[in-house]
Amino acid sequence: MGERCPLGSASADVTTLLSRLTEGDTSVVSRLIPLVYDELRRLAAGYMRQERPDHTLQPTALVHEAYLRLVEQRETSWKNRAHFFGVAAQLMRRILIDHARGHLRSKRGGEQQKVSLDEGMLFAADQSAELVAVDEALSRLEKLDPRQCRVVELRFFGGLTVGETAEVLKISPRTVEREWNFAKAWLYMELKPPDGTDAGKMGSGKDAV
Amino acid sequence: MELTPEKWDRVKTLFEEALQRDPGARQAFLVQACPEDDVRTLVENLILSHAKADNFLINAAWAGAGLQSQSEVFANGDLLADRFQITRLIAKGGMGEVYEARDLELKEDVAIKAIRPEILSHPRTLARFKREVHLAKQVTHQNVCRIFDLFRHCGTKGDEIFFVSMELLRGQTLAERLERKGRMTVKEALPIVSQLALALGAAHDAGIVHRDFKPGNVVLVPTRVSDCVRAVVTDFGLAVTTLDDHKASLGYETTHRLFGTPAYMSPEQIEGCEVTPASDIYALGLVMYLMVTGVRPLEGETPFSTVLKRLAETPLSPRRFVPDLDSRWEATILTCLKRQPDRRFGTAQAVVDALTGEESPQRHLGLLKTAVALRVVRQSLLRHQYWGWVGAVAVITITAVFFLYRPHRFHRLSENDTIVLADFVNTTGEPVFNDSLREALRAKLEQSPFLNLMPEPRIRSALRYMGHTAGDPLTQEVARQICSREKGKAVVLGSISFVGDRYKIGLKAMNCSNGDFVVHEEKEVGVRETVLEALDRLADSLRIKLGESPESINSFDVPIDNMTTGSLEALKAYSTGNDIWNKKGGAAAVPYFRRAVDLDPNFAMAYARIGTICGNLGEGRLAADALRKAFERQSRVSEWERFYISSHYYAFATRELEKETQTYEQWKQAYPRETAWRINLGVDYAISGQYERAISEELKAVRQVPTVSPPYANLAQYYIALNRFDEARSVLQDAQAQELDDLSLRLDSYELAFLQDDLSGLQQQLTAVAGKSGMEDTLLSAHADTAAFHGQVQKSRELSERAFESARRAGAIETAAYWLVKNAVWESEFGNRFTVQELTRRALAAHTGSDVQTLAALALARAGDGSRAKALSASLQKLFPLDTLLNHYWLPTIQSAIYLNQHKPDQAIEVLQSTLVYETGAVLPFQCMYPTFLRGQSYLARRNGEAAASEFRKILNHRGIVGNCPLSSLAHLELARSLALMDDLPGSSIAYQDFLASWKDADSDVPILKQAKAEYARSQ
Repeated sequence: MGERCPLGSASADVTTLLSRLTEGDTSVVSRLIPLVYDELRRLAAGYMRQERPDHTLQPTALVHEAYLRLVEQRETSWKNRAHFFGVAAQLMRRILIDHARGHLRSKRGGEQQKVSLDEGMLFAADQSAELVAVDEALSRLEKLDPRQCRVVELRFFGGLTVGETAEVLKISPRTVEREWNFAKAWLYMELKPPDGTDAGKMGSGKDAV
Repeated sequence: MELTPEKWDRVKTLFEEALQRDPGARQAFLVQACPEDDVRTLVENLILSHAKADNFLINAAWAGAGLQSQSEVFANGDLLADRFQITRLIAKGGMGEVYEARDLELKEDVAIKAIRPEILSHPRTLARFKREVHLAKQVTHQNVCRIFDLFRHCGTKGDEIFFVSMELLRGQTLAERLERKGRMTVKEALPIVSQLALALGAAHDAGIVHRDFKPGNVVLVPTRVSDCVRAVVTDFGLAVTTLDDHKASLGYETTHRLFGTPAYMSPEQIEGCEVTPASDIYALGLVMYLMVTGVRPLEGETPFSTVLKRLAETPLSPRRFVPDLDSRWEATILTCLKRQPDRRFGTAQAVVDALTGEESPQRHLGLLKTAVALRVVRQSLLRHQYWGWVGAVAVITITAVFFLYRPHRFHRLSENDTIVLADFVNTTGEPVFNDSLREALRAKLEQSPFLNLMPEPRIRSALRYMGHTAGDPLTQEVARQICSREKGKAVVLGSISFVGDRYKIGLKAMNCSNGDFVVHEEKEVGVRETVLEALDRLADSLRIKLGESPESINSFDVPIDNMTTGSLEALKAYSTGNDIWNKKGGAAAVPYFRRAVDLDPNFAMAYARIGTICGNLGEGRLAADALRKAFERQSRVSEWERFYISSHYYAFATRELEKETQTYEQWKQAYPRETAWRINLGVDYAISGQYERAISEELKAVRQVPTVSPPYANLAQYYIALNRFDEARSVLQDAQAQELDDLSLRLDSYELAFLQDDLSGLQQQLTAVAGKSGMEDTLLSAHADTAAFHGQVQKSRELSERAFESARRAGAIETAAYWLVKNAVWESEFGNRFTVQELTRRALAAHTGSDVQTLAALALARAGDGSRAKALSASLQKLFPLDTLLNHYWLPTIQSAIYLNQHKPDQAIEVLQSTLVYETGAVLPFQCMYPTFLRGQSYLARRNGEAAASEFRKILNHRGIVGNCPLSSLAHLELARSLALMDDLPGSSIAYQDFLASWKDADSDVPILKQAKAEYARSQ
């Protein structure tokens, strides 16, 4: 194989910031977020220019791409990656929810959209509704228990494993599992009251399809 | 309800506490613990939700996104480029659809691949795509899907669609095949992999890298020859690299990057670096891995984690999933999956060469070189192992505590350091943990080629020297004394206790020279079912801490409950069985192993133990049944156990001598310090007459485990075979000094006494076992042989009847029948044809084991009943087609006897050719040099006295081999006849006298004796 590919200039910054974050310096998050978000937005813009408007975003590819672009691979550790995705998870939540809301709006408009994307990454309309419902319930949970909300954000929106979540939040994997268990039960109850009446659709009572 | 922070905390606490209780007890708990209605109702609702929320949010947000098909570009009947008429849609892919179409110009069916317009919308992408298609068109290879051309179709709305016309292939894709029928055997996979490699090789030669090689891009086209498919790789050159153009538009460097699923991407592709043929080799490795294991390696739960694994981790050995996978496949696959492209195979053909052994990338022990981080191993095992197990997995809490680790004071073990495993200290009061945990730990540590566990017999012998009895508990102090005394390095101590309502498992390693604890680890678990798993993890850490490399652990580590059993009760029965076997012999241990398999019908090692004991006891069919069961359950065993099971399976079930020997040789490679293979390898050498090699192995075995009897018994037997009676005597005395006493040793002593004309010695051995069930029958039968040797036919008959009865009473029916039929063989030599018919009938009625049938056929053939002998032979051949000695030694011997009766001496000699290898070997079930005897008689029939005499002298010169077998006294008679033919009358006369001397106390009415006396009288 030839030389490693050259990396963009932002990568050194992000790599350094990530290392500090990994060491516990949370003050860098505020500097990291714009860098990651910028990258995500630039990539998204690239996609949007290329793809037909009826395509949905492919968030996996976006974050994956952003990560590869921004982080110097050789210097990076497992912990660094966990923290990167920890940061990206919040952004992912924002991007996904914005997109889902946009999608729902267009559905209400009655416009028949063809939604599809390469390798099957797309939201069907009811999934958009579910996402929005989860997001809203999560916002309520955040007020009661910010850490639990963060666990859900990392696990559900960031796709982090229990171990990675534990690393990002500096808590034990066991605690992550406990919080995750409780949060799932709570969110489930919020979205589907366990009183025997099957809500039918996730997020019933809200704007659904 | 207004949820204050205080209430919220109470809700969380109550929720967790309630969940830890049995479902039935939760309501009562909540009522008692929580008087406030609103909080309680909330907790109750949460618990209800919890039960249903199992799969809720289980996938990350984007993964929950569903599949929705894109509208198709073309419809049936559409005419493209005025030439291709769409017949049907074949498939949809990431880049567009594939259709079947009719080429109206060339009047043939083709495949059309439409490329989604947006993919080629950028001029630079289109330009490169065209170049790639142009290159791909040049490749014409049997295993590469031909690409005909690239076309542009203008749609009705003025849109442009590019499509490629290709060879139409009819068959399923490899992905579909694997989906439908699961993984393949290497036998099925090899022809496909070979063709894939040819395809990749051809394309690489043409300068094309596939970039997106995956099972979905391989079509398996059936051929006229059944079981033979043509594997064709599709989409060469069609993997569009899109992102580089996005980047170009964003002002970044242009790199070749494939955009899409990372399922088969190589690390360098993921990183966006240069893609070379080595990237395809990587993908080929992933595909091969999937083909033979059914598992995609380096694949995470999300695309993210897949990418990360691909970049940072080394794949698990495919043997993790298919333990009996050919080691060449394992090594080849792992070489394909090397992180660095230059460490993979240089060409696709080299992959096939490595698989077929043309060139081996790594020898067996090269396994140790495939590195994998331990953490990864554990994660994936957990997933596989406990998948359907228990919700309890979720509540396992494992807190590992490592302390007192002082590397500066304790050098890590080197390969020759021995460790002593002390007894598990069980303070839980639960008897199920007695012995079973130590057994589990022993099995776990035993599979490490790095750690050298002190063999149990050596521990027991040390105990005796120290004034303890062999069964005394191995406390920490006692174990340390043994360790110091035997120059060991460390003692490993396990413990289990209760902490509250949880089990605490501890594992410590003590430096036995100074008593320091060098490793101390603990875990707590909540339920009994997870104790073994926790122990397993502790043992892994221990192995690392003691200096074993993660690579070695990766290669030689099957989790405890996977290799032995998940049932503690079964493990307990098994460990008791092992203990009894060591102390009281095999027969007494069988009931415990039977109980173990009753408790866990998949307990492979317990079946193997039953099979081995039965095989040793001569119960061939029971042995074969049990070992077959063990062999079928090999997916659940460790590397060490697999060697044990497969070698014993070949030894007792299929009786494939060559495979058995090969397995021992492999076992030797992997576990050079192990004793079991050594003893048995010695037996195999002896069977083919290589006594010196056999002796060398057994001598080492005696040194390694001086306190078990088989090496002594075997060694004595081999010395006897070489007529080195003094050395045999000395070995037997050594065994006696160790207070060893078992059947094989007794038999050796009997044999030696016979060969040294020590009549009181014979009697002494007989008396020693008199009345001992399971022992006396063997010596009674040996004594029957001695009587037959002397022509005392009546006495021999009586003794063999007693042997038959004794074995029958002991429940050893096959053995009993064998004693009868062996006597029938002697009767046939003496000319008592009716007795032969009667004895074989009774023996076969009692049991139809392979040895019984074999000897029956031999006796009948010798007694002139060729047709029945032939029928039995044919059935044996059909039933045991793989049995080496049966097919190469006994059946030819029987056939030779039949030819001899038919006055076809030339054929009788010819058919014995394959027996030559074993002529003086320790063949089973007994060695009498029958082929040599028959060859001699055949030469006699041809009136070639000299050749005949030479054969009979061979028998007489190998007294140690034939021993008290009656053929050896008959050989004197036959020698006399041979010499008479040569007109060597004095020599003949002496030989007659030798025969008559050994038959001086013979029954007077034996036909052959009357004949001999008459001949002798005539010659005088």
